Amino acid sequence: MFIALSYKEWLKTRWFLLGSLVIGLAAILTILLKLGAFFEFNSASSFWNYVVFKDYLYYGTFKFVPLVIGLLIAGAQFVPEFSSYRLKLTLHLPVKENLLLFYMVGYGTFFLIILDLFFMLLLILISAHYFPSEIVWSMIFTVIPWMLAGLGAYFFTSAVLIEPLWPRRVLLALFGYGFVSQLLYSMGYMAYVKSLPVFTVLVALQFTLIFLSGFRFKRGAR
Amino acid sequence: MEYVVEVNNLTHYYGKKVVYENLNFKIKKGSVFGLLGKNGTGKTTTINILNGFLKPRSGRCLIFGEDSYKLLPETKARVGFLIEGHIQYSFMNIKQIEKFYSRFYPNWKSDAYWELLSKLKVLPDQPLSKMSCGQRSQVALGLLLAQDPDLLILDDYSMGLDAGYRRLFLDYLKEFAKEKEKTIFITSHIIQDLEDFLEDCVILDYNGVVLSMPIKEFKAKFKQYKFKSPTELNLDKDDVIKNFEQIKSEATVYSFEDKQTVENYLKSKGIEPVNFREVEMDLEDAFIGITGKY
Repeated sequence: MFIALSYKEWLKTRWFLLGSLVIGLAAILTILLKLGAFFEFNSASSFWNYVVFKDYLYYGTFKFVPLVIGLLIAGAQFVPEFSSYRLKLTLHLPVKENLLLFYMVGYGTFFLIILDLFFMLLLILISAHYFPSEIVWSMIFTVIPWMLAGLGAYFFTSAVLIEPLWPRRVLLALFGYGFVSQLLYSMGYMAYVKSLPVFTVLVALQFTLIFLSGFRFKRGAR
Repeated sequence: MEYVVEVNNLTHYYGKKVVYENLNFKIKKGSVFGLLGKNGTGKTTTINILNGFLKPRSGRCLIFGEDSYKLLPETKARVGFLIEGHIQYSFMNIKQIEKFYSRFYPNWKSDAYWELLSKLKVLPDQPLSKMSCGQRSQVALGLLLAQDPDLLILDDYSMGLDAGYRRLFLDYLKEFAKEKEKTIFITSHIIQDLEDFLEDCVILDYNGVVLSMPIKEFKAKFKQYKFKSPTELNLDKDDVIKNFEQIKSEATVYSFEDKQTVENYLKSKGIEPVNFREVEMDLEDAFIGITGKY
């Protein structure tokens, strides 16, 4: 049964997952090429000057990639469910409704995390090739909030798409925008390192948003 | 008597607009039941409540004895559901969709699906999104037949279908209904197709239930009488006159009473009907007769 549900989600998302992979790899390739070009024509000390005095993020190209991927995957999964009330077909399957929603969001979350981990690994490899471990660690703690923003965008967008009430949709979208933009606001190194546990818990809680929208869909709210 | 569906005092509003109040009907096991009514009378609302996609303002709706809003997965597996417009997962092709659904239903009958699909000139890898409405209806029907449900709920199966596909759809439904203890609940806006198919019906109007009885009884008892009247008449609905209309000098009354009773009744109202006669009706005429044209 859960293999069949995975199959359905896979059919909806496979090209979008591939597209997400391409977007992420393109951004990382750009970072790699930029770094290569920089060190080709500049010294390590001038790079350090950029980092220390201008808050230059050599991986800044990647900043919005997790956000775009979160939006893409949420759209790929839930636009087909929302259009023509196709979610009724899904919720009519002989499985508990909350379990169905949990599984759908779980699928998207799983692939987002896999993609994020893969991209993070590549960024670590690139960073470790050029920089000392302090820079690598600061990169990790700077990129994690961007990835949390991607997950938050995914959870909010999913809930917005199956929410039956327009005023609540707008409210959810505004809250989502507010939350995600908080995580993408700062351009500095490790700007969120102290608040990271709080943001992580908040994103984890957003997993439940879909159940509230799903509950209202089931009640026939209009 | 065993009932598959029991609707008790169902009341629903959209905002302040009443859809209906205290709707009651029961569907016998193994019967073909029609919920008929004009657009906007609450047919799809009832289907949504039956399928647990709408919580009614008050009243109860039971399917196989369970509250329709909280059906157990095992019970949902016994209910086949056709959404208005034959909506299915259009991102799948006809092979993928069969593979997907077959995992959920223990009594899945692949042969029933492929037998129906073999009549369509489509390839197994044809996406649903590139099929005509008629072809999609056959996919949706094939999936329902393969599911082999005990109760089939069809929300306006005829929407968007031409005469050929409507006939094909109904032919297969008739075969399905012949199987032991299969129950069908159907709504449609094309009434004449259902004439020889329905056993019981409820007719809804903007004010609620107009009629609830077996189709045979309705067709036998409900009469249309025509007569000439040189003057414009104004007859209100009552116990005898269920509907009245007049186009120029040709007047028509609809009633459950016999010819003599209606003629006498009109005379008692001071009307002298000229050329008073009973006119045969099919189910669609009778439906329009009881609900009116407007």
